[in-house]
Amino acid sequence: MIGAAVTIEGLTKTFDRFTAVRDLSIEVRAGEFLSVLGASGSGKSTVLRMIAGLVEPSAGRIVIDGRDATRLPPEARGVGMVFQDYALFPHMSVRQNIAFPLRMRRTPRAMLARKVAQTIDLVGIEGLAERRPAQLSGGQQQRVALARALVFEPKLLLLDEPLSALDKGLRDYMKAELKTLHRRVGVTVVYVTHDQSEALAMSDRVAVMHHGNLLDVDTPARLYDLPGSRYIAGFVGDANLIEGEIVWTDPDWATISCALGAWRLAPDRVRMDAGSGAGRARSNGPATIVIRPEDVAVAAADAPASAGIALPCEVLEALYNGSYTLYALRCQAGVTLSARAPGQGDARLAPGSRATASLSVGRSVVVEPGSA
Amino acid sequence: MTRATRPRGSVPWTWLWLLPGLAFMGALFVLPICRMAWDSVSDPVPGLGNYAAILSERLYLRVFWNSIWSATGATLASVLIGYALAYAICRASGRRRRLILGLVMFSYVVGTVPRAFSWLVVLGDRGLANLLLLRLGITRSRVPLIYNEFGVLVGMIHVMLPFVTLILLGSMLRVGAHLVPAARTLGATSRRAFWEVFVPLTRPGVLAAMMIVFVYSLGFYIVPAVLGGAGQTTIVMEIQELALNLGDWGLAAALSTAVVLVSILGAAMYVRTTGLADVHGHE
Amino acid sequence: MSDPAAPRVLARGRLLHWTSRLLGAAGLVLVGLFLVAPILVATSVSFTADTILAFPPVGFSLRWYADILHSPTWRAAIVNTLAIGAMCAATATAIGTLSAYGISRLRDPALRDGLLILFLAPLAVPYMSLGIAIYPTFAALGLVGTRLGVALAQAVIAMPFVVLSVTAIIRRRDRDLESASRTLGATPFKGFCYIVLPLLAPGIAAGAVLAFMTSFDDVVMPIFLGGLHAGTVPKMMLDSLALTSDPSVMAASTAIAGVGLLLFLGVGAIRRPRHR
Repeated sequence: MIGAAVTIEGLTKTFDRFTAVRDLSIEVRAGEFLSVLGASGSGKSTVLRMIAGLVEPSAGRIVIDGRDATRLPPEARGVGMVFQDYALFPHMSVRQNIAFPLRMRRTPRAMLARKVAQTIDLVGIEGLAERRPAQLSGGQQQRVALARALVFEPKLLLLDEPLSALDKGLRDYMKAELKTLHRRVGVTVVYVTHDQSEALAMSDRVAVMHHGNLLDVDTPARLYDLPGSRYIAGFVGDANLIEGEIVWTDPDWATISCALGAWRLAPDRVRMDAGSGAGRARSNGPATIVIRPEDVAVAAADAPASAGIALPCEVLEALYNGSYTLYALRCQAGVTLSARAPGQGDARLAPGSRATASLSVGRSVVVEPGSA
Repeated sequence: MTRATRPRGSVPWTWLWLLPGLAFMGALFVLPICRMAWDSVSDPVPGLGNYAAILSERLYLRVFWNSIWSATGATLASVLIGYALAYAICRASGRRRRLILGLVMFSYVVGTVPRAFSWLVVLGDRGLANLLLLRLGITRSRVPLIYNEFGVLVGMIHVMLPFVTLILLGSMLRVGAHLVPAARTLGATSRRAFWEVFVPLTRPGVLAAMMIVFVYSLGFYIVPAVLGGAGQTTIVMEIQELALNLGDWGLAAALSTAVVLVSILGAAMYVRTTGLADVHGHE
Repeated sequence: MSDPAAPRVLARGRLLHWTSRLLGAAGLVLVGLFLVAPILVATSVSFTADTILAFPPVGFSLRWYADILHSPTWRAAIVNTLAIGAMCAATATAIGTLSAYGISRLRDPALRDGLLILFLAPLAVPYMSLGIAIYPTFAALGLVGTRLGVALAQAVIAMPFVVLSVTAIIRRRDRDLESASRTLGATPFKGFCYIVLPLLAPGIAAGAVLAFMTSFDDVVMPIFLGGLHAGTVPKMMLDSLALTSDPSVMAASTAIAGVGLLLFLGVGAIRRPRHR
């Protein structure tokens, strides 16, 4: 099936004096997997609940599959939803839970049994049908919640941080499962999470929210490679943020200068206006430079520079993380950088030792100075 | 994060659930009490005459005194015993705790009526107490233990004890279980830990319990009616007398309103000190 | 540090410790007896073959129970008690459950607390005052001397127990479950019937039993509003004290105690299987 397209215009929600969602507009394409990524309090769950019809918007419109759903009650929207704590009915068995939406739609018994069996197969919980939710593990409960939300073949599936209660190994496994499920079923998915690795792994596009505002919507790759603002740079992945200046001496190149040095940058790496394409605004002035830790190579003080700008620095701390080691380096002018080295890094780079940091400045991104 | 969990369009719905209850309470509780208060100042003639009568006539003052006297005595005694009992339950574990709690609950669920009547055969002239006193040679003749203050007091304590114990137990359980052991590690003997850490922490609970129980005991009817004599007429018995037998409605309403005001005052103080936290359960 | 007095101090401490523990245990036993013994005594007297209210019972006989079951006035009282208890429990449970549920769905905590206080207020008011207050209203409605009248008045006193019982069992998670049912296509009414009610069932059942027990135990409302035809067993017990002094009143007392105990054990059994 092809999922529904969802159009959201000017969606706003205010509680007393607190604005949870501010004038949000977005087009969710039919069949796409869209993640809404944000920290707690960013308003992402409120947006989801407004799409589901559980919360009444203060302003704005929600159009689902061509129908204006803004005033429709939740049971009339045909939208499936998986809650953060699964919300499985504890007094019903797995089978009864999954059958519930079909019963509400008065599906004839034979068809109901068939669809329930098909959905149980789809999410992989054969053999658990007669158990109660309390007898299931977290991962199993999550699949039941998915099954229940999919059994009536909705065109839109909403997921509210469904993996947050699972432990890491299970979470990674479920990311793959969800992606596969999405491909097989074809439903449009809106997935709310605060975990950027989930958003990056599964989505066709990611919408980043902050304090009720939609900051940017883009593919995961572009969001990571070319973040549109300081906040996005810091929230999606790790980032070094350095204040500096941008000067357009040449229509084809921007000159970036900061405490660490100066270099030329291709215009498509300049995101001075988040969300409206790269390099549109070409004014000179202060800017923030984003350099990812993996673009900062660190080597012992006597090693030659590997790329771009080489800076002498002192190793402040080394944090081993299994597949990589994160170094905190103090460079000139008091600037502190994070650098990432594969594996255990270099044994000579103990805290306190001198080192050389090589910045691949060609991969840096320039964003608005001090913006959110 | 603010979670708006309210299903859409539920504002009118919420009040729909509350409509039957509000109508019921309004018609059968709020309005009647207001009307009774009104009657107390308007029947038989408008004015505070009924209240003046209550405060001046010896009969009513005596009745007030009886009620307050027995209520105070019963409250103090049952809080004292109840505290010890609740503490025992608190400290005990497993079977012993279940046993004591079981005894308390047994006494509670049996009801006030059976309990009040049972004292007739324990304290009565031909009851257990007199039997023991005579057999053991402690007295030479039957001692009147009922139809007097003593009987009423014992009956009231018996009825109130489980109730008080459960309230105090609740308050004790709210004292962190680790506070007394912490005091012990800081050098306090178990006696000092008890008096200087545990008891002060239960003080608000005890005060609240005393208020509730005092108010509760003002409204006792069965125990004084069954176990008391002519001199043990309580407020509520007097109200019944006035209303049903003497037909003096205004006076009955006035006495009744006075009792209601005192009761609500006591309950308000209880809610002020403990709040409604123990009501809300598992939020 | 070696202190020649130490052994004596230790011994004294140990003696004190054991004495206080002994006293504590003795005290516990005394209080336990105090709580339970009177009922047992009354029960034993109810089986006496003698015609006076005396302890110890003489012989063993069920005649007092038979007396009560055969007496038309007692039988009417028993029927009344059961009927009134059922009506009271039904009213208090239905209205109390809806009210507790409604209160739990309010968002404003001040409003929630305020309404909770309103519904719990009858706990603070002596039954007699309530009886007096309701009397004129019921007299006007012709409810004085009827079973319904007594039941409704008792429902006012019993409802707080239902509200407390249901409120205690409502959890915040229940609201999510209801929301989930809405997204799955259930109307608010169906959501309540299929999801909320089953989850609240233990609390509702416990509340119903408490309401019934409250009705059973109450003697004030039957006295005030019962008139001649709606007297209950407790009222008859009071009346019979003035008329006779035979042990039949103990039989009634024991019967009531037994019912209360059974109901309590029944509630305990209901609460055992929990879905959480």
